[in-house]
Amino acid sequence: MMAWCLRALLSHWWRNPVQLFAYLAGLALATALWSGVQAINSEARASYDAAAKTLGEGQYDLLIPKQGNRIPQDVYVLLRKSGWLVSPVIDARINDVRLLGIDLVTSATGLPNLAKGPSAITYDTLLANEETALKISMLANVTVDTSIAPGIAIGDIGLVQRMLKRDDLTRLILLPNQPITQPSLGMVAPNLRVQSAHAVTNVTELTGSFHLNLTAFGLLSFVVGLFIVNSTIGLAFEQRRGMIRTIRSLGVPMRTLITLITVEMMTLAVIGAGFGIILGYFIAAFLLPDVAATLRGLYGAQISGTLELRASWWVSGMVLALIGTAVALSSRIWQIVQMPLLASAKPRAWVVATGSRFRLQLIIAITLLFSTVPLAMTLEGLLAGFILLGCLLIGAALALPPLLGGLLTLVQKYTVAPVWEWFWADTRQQLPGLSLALIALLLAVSANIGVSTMVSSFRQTFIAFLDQRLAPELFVEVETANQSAALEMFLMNRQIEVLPLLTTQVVIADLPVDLYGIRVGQTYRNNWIFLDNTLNAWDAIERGKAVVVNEQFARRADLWVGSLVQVSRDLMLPIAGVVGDYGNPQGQVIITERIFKDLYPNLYASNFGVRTKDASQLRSQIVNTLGIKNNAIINQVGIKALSLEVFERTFVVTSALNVLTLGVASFAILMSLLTLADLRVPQLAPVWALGLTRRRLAWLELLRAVLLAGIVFVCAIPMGLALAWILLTIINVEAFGWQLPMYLFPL
Amino acid sequence: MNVKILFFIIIWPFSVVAQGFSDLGSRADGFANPELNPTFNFPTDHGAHPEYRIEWWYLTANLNGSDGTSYGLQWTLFRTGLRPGEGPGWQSPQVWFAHAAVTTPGQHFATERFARGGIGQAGVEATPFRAWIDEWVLEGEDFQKMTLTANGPNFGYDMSLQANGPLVFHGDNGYSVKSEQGQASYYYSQPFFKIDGTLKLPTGNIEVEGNAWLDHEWSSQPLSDDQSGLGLVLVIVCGWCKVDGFSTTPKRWITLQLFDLDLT
Repeated sequence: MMAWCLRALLSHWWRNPVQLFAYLAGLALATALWSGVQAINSEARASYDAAAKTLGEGQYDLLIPKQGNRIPQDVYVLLRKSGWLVSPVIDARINDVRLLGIDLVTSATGLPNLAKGPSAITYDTLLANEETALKISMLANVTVDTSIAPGIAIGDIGLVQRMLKRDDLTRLILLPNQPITQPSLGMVAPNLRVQSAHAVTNVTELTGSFHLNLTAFGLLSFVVGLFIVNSTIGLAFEQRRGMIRTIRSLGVPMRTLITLITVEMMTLAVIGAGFGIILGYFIAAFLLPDVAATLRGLYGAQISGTLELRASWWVSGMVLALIGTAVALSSRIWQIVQMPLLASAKPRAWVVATGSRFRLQLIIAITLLFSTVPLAMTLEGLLAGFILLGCLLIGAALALPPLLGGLLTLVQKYTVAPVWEWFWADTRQQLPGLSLALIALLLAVSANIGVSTMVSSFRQTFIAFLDQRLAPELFVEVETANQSAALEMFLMNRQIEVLPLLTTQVVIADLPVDLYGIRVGQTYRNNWIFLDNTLNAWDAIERGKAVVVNEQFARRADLWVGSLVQVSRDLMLPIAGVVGDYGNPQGQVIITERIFKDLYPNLYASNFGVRTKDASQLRSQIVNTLGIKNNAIINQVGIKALSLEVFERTFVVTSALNVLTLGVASFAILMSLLTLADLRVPQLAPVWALGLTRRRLAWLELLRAVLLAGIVFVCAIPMGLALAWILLTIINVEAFGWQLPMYLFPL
Repeated sequence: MNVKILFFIIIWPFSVVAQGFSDLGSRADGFANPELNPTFNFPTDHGAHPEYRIEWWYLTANLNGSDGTSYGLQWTLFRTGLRPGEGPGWQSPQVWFAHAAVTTPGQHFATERFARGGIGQAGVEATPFRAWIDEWVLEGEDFQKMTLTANGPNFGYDMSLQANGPLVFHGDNGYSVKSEQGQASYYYSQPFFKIDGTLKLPTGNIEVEGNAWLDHEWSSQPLSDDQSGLGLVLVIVCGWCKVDGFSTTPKRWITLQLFDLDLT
């Protein structure tokens, strides 16, 4: 009996292959983007973990130079001979690989947790993962160790120094259990300072919001996919009512029937989700290089370029797909249980029944949409931003079918021609079947508009920002105090405006910040645009009476214009201006050169901005006269191009996901129309019999689809802009620490 | 004793060079071997012999406080060569480690240090005599009168040493046979040091004086095949230990009182 019963149930799919395809494809699409995004996230997370383990960052305090990033090796030996237990590290890039040189003998307790144990490091061999090993195999012997974080090669400090042709160090790890007596650090190594382990910015924390964004996209597409699944299941059940009635009348118990239907649908769901996971893997593999580039560009986080099949993401995709199917299924099964044996499917009755559902939907939608206003004003934090987004999207989604229904009724009322009256009435009748697909389209289109608006706003702001910030034509980096003084003298003698930049890392308001000393001049006054400032801000800064901070600092410390900032132990200055600082995770406090030199007399300016009309000539003069290396001078044009490139790559992923979601939604529409087509034959037959040609009918069908899509697009515009507003003013601030002005797309 | 360090030191040198300590029992590749009838050349021979595989300078002292309380003190500097000879900077094949300890009637304080050769962090120079690793130093104008310091997280000491007797040469004029198969080392001692100074303990500083014994021994293949290689490594790693006797019988060639060997 069971077998025959199952055959009867399955025969439905053989007769409606399009429906079967829609069901499987809906599930596959829902699972694909979700598991693809999860795959990317888990890959990134694994990379962060590996990096934390490889670098041992955040575990120990460090000694780092107050100026620059080099520590003479003599200073290391002197520290050790003074009773400071430190272990040397050299850290530099070569061939796009971060090369880390450590001394195993002294770093015994601060060792990276390498899978094969420290024994794998030898005097003349580097350790790296496979991908990284390929990049540096021509420079040194490399042993492949998969536990090493991507993009990093570790080796003995001597080997790394030889490879880099350097004889100095980058930082010293301050080991635990220092001896009972030791001279103060200032006496032994006055040019070094302690960087607390907690002050190191945590990559996982920094990138958390980025991954949350990806997850949100995955979830959106999952929901859209589930809409397809839900409507297909609904349709299949509607069409099988007759069959179910027959099977029941033949004496199959309800329990057996429900079990069989559940097994049937869930088996198909597993197949669909399985396809989805395979698809998701390819999507992830396709997007991963861009995600990696984005994370590197925005946060300096290195993630692996190759994808591993981790249970965490594919299991989560499968489970979620099955839960989604089960939820959709349960309501239908409930209907079967409730169904009187002799009732049959009546599309018109269905519409009437949905009428009351529409009213309820509208009430919920209005409640949700209205609740966004107080939510936006009161809630804070990334999660709140997403709750707000959720309210907006679900509210709009729920409101769409009743609004469309209302609109159609209204239009029908003012139509006199019988064909058109039929057309509107027929469209209304189709609405319940199409509404889920239309909602999916609405969500996808508004997400598209919202994200495009965000990206274009970001783009415009960023380009203007680059013009502002990169006003000097040349940027010169010097290595020594003598070079610094000589360069300044050289440029001053030629009456060239020079902008020295002094910098050091400090802790202000319990936050690690970059403290800058600048020479306030015309360039700053003309080019820098404040987000907020006091009157005559630059004058106050020039006189040493105020500071400028970047937006990231202002937000994190919640210190704005007028607030006092503890610049050093004895110096408290008010904030005169807050500047936008896009694409930088670090907080900044900017003071005038004079105050900086008073606070840090030993530091010299190692970076200079130079204003000149003839950049290439001045460049060669600096190289020839002062012996500054050519690659230490960077052209403004070069920096701008590089910055823009980083920026463009940042949003490749977003737009790719955008296109994919839109694709899924369009597919949902197509599938709904296709599955409805069968059902509509009885509806169309009388009209055809009354004399409407097939050609005319086809045109009317097409017109209906275009019309519905058009209305959805119109509704999606305000939705998309509202979405963009939430993304820019709430999500972005939480995720990146800065706010962007909104430029309306596509104006 | 940090187990990680123990593991690391045992494992590391083994793989750094193909012929690591696993090879200790056999003839040392490229390393010099102690020869019968040695002629010592002082003060040069007080210094390091990087052409030999292992070498140590270890000092033990029995001390008394002014109230008659007994204390023990130990300071050891080990050198091990991964290859014979020296190299520039970090390429030096020499690795140094040291162990310092103080015992009181009820407590035991110990700590250790590690360093690579070639960069000046550790070494032993003959004239004037100076053996150091980090801030731990045993030094003097000559081998007769020296000062000694060591520091740990919870103890330290500053001592002065004055020799009042001649050097003592072990075995056959300093050629000390370790096994019947011919394994041997160069080995001499200064057992007649008067020592005094300050022990820095958590309870406060304690002035002490007493007698000390300084050994200097170097070799390249100190174990025969039937002797335990790991035993030697443990000696080196866990350092001291109090060497209070010497036997040439296999498996008992050194009497150890391992201090804090905690392998759990």
